[in-house]
Amino acid sequence: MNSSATRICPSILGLSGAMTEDAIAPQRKQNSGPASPKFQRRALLQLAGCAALGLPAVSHGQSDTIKVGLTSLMSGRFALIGSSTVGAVKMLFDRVNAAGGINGRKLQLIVRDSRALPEEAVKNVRSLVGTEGCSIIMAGETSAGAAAVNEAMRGTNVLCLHLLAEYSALTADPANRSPFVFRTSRQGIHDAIGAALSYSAIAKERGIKRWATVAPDYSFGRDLTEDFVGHFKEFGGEMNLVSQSWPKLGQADFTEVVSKVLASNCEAIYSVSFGGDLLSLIEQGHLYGLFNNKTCFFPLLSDYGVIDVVKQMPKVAYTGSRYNHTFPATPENKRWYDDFLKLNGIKPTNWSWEAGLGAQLVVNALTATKGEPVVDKMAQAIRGSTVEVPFGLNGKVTMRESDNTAIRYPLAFGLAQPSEPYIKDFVPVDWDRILAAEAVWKKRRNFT
Amino acid sequence: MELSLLVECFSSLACVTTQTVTGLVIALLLFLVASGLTLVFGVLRITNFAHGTFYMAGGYVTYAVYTATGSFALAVAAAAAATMAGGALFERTVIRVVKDSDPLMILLACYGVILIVDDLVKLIWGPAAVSIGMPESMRLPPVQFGGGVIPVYYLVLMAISAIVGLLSWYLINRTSFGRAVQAVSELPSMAAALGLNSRFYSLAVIALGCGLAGLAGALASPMRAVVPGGGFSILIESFVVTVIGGMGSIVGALLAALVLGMTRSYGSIGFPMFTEGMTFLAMLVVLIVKPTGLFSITEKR
Repeated sequence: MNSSATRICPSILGLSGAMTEDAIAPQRKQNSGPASPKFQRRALLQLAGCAALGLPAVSHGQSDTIKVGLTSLMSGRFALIGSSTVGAVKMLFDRVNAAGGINGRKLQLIVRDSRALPEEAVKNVRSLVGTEGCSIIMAGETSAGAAAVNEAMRGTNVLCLHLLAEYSALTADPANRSPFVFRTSRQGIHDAIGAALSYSAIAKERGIKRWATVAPDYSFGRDLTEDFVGHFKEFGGEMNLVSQSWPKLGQADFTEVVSKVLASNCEAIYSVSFGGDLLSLIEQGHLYGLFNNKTCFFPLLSDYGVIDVVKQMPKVAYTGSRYNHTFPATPENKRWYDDFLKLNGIKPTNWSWEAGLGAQLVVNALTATKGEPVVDKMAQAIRGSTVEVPFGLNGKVTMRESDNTAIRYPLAFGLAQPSEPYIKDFVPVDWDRILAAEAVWKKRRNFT
Repeated sequence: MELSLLVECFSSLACVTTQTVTGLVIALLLFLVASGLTLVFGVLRITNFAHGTFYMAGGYVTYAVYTATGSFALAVAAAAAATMAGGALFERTVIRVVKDSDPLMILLACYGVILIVDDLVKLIWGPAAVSIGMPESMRLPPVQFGGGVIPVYYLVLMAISAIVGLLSWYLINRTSFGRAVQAVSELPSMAAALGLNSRFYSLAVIALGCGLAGLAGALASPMRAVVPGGGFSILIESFVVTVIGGMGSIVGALLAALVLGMTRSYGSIGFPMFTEGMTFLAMLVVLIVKPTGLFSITEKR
């Protein structure tokens, strides 16, 4: 068989031509057992069918579409994550396709729902690569799902972009890295350092010393809180940690958390709860008068999915720039926001820009390879590149070469207010200070 | 474990007041949801896996009616009525068809309903959480008692939950309707011979159970995010309550909800890392010591 034909077989078998045998094995095992005669027979019949019909041999290289698989949380409590993610990717892909595609080839987005289950995310990825023949995987998963996908992608010859996972070790720990896996999402450590820089200065100014923390009980919440507390003290902030609560992700009732924070007699609350969880914390906190004399530091409050919905804002709440159409305050960012809203009927969230960056990288990589989804060439085009995106700082975001991670994305902090634009006086964080502190953190963790 | 903090809390009236009220609120709201689940099981021997969906639907109906009319009382009443009607429809179109099938079939049918309703609310209200916010009339400073804090809305909530719980118990145990329901439940063929329409009673019980879930969702909506799929976590907790209390027992559900509420409330101070574990440990102990639950009706029969 010539090289073209060798790429047909896996394609007809329902497997990606770019996939290695190791990556194929689990999928095959799951579908029909090892070296199933039935499986082979069906494939032979399909081949014979093609021959009989006189169909041309179609390889990925010759197909008029490039399949991109996306797994995300499309249903249930966290459906907004999936909608925000898919909305951003689709917006760019549609635009590229309308302009004729990449080298004449259209981008085909295939979306699968992981229902917030890591094992489902892995199943999706295997099916997207194995059955659908996707050459590129976009993982719009939470930290737990992304960790599972990361393992599944290890050693495969498929380009993978983690769009949403924020837990730092995903790319910071060399043991987790793969040459063809990239992270376009914010990294927890960057946010923690940024928040510590900003909030320690505010705390000093306001004389705040007694702190309570509330964070979802999984790697994202625990790591971010620990890193924030550590760096807060490193930057000279005085912190007497009087209470720490770890509610479950998606917990409906925060009553015991609120009463615990109240009993701690703290002066400030730091919480990286998000979405409906943060809404519940705020609504139930108001019942107890929790926010009457406390300063809130809720970096994730600024997501439109929360700040647009919450009916009663805490009296004093500092937040971060998850995504806001006024930061960066550029016409390009505002246009991107307007376009997203018009197309999807919802405002873009933090997850939208992260996914939008991933989509732009896919387009750039395929443009560099002239529409050929050749994994090493695509990865080469992405690694270390500076991408022009409407929501970027100065219109740009950098994909760091050393760990395939996005840096210098928009990161600022400000005071939340109850009406648009919701954040007052955004103060951008100095990325050079973040990166310097991150280098120390990496050394301490042996992530070098 | 921070048991010294727990001891410290027990020695402070303020802490005991706040934590006990917290435990009561968690318990009574949970009881309201779980009582519907246990009622349906007690009468029809069917586990309604879609019960949490009616809790979520109650929240969305409240949001819609409250946004349109500004009346929270009307919104709560509408939510209870709508979820009762939805429950009747659910019985007529789903449960009646699968109730004699394999339990797995019931589970699958209920799961189908969960997915459909989740997608429907997503289509209508979008994928993001919605918030009702506390009605103006309830935006009052919390009551101070013994140095502790009691939110006014929680007092209202506890009163409503207690009244509804009592009414449910009274309806099932002290009225002719309740007696008929029990007759249909225990000896359906004899009840039919006596002219009791078993189909009507199963429809009524499921409607009532779903209405209770909807009412709980409505009452919780000003203080909890209303979100697609929001009924799932409450369903899990309701199952724990039902298993501890005994499938089919309203009194058992109340007692189990109180155990859970207090465990979570005081556990958040004394063993914050093991509150969830303690809940399931309690369930495990009950299952080992008394596998049918504390007050199981199946045991009585």
